[in-house]
Amino acid sequence: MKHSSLLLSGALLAMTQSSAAQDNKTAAVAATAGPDVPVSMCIGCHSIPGYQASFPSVYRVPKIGGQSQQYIEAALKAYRQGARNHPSMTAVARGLTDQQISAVAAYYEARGNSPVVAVSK
Amino acid sequence: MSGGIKTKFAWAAGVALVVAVPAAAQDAKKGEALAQQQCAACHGKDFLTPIDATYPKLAGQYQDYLEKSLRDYKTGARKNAIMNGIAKPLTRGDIRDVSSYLAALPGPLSNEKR
Repeated sequence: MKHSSLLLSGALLAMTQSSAAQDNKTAAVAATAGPDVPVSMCIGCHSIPGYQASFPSVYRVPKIGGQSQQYIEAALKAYRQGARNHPSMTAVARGLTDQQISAVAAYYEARGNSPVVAVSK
Repeated sequence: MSGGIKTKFAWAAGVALVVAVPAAAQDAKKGEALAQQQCAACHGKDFLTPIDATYPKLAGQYQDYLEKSLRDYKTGARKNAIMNGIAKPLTRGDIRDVSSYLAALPGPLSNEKR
């Protein structure tokens, strides 16, 4: 019993390590903005705390730093294919490749509050 | 009967307090209850650990963005089979209460330039 659970945890560890190795490239890319990580289109709204979108309606643009990479990817792809509508986001997303979407999403996932702090509304 | 002006004033002030304070407290309680009942199962008990990574973290998100999202899900302007169903029965007050509760929670979400 003990032995098999040890084996299992060994196998799990090996799996974790190999997927970590695969993620290395994404992690490295996430560190810096550039042609592969075209966040220059994002920062004008999403890197200004409290920034309000004024069209089509007035509300603060969502915080995306610290959001999960997979959610940001899903959101950008939904805008790109028209499943989700917002004039500027649709325009931005239509200009991005799958690879750029992944890179931008990883970039923002890595830019949350750390450690987690209480936030004001 | 024995009540002078002073007593009447104190009585009125007491009524005002009883009415005003619990209204806000009740809204917060309602928001918390709604969030636990309607959101936690998928978005996580802390609203940061969703059961599916493509679902967003909600804790600490801006209140007005959460409200807009829920309104858009309610009207169908934003489409998601699950969220459209969840948002449909919510009133404007429900949407405000739940968004206010979620926005005040601690979390990693940030729009700081880093």
